[in-house]
Amino acid sequence: MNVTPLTVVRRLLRLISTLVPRWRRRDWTREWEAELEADAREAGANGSALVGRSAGAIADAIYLRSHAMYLDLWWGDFRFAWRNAVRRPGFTWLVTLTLALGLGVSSAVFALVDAVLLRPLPYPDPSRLVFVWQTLPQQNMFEIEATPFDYMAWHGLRSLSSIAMVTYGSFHVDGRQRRAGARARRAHDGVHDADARHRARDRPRICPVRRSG
Amino acid sequence: MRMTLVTTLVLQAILRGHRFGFEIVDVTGYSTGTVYPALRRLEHAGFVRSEWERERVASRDARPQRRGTTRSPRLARTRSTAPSSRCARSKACVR
Repeated sequence: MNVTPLTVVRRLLRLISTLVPRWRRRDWTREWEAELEADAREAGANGSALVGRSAGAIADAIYLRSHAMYLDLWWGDFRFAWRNAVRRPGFTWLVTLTLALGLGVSSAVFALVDAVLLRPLPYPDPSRLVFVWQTLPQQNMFEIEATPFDYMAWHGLRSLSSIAMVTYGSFHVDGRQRRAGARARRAHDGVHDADARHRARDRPRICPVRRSG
Repeated sequence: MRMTLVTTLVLQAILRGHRFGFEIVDVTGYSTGTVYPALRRLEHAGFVRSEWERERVASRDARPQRRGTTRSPRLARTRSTAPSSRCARSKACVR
C-alpha cells in the first residue's frame, strides 16, 4: 500500500475530527481535506508542510467543541426553564409576583434610606449642622425648646458660625385662583443665609411665608 | 465579539477577496491554528458567512470543491475603520 503524505494527513484529520461536534463532523472533515488537497496540488506542499498545516485543525476542532458545549448548556438551561414554566403556570405566577414584590419593596426601601440617611442635608457642610436644645438635668428635663430670649443670648456665641430659629406648622398660601394649605417652616434670617450658600437647584428651599389669619 | 489583531486581519483579507481558508492563512502570515478559530469567531458573530463553492467552478479549475468565506450583509452595514500601524506591517494590509 502506497502511503502518501496526503493519506497520513487524512488519517490525522479523521482522528482530530472526533473532537468536532457530531452534527458538524462530516462537513468539517470535508472542508479540511479539500483545503489540504488543494494545497498539495496547487502549491506543491511537501509532507512536513502538510502535516504542519493540518496541526491547525486541532485548534479549530477544540474551538468548535467548546463553542458547541457553551451553546448546548445555554440552550439546554433555557429549554428546561421554559418547559417547567409552561408546565406549572401557578408556580410561574407565584415566582413572578414574588420577584416583582421583592424588587418593588427593595426599591422603595432604598429610596427611603437614600432620602433619609444617605443623601446629605441641603446645606453646605451638613456634618457641622446641629440642632440646639436646652437641658436641665437637675429637674430631669431634656430637649427643652429655646425661647426668643435664649436665641438672643446665644446669638453672640462665637463657637457657632450662624444660628437661626425655626418653627414648623401649617399655613395657607394665597394664589391667584384659590387658597391652598401647605406645610412649611418659619425661619429666622440665619437659615436663609445658610440656604443662600447652597447651590443645588433640586433641593427644597426655604421661602418666606406669610401666616394667614 | 472582541476584535483582536488576528480577527481584524482575517476580516480584512476576506474583504480583499481572499475566500478560502489556506488562502487567508497565506495572506495573513498566521498559522492555520490561529486563522481558523478567528474565522469561526467571525462567522459566529455574523460578520462573515461560509458556503461551499459550486461544483462546476471547482471541476473547471480541476481542484476539490472548497468551502469559501464571504462578507455577510451585516458587515456591509458596519462602518469600516482605518487599518492600524501594526496592521500595516502585515501582508494582508499591503495594497
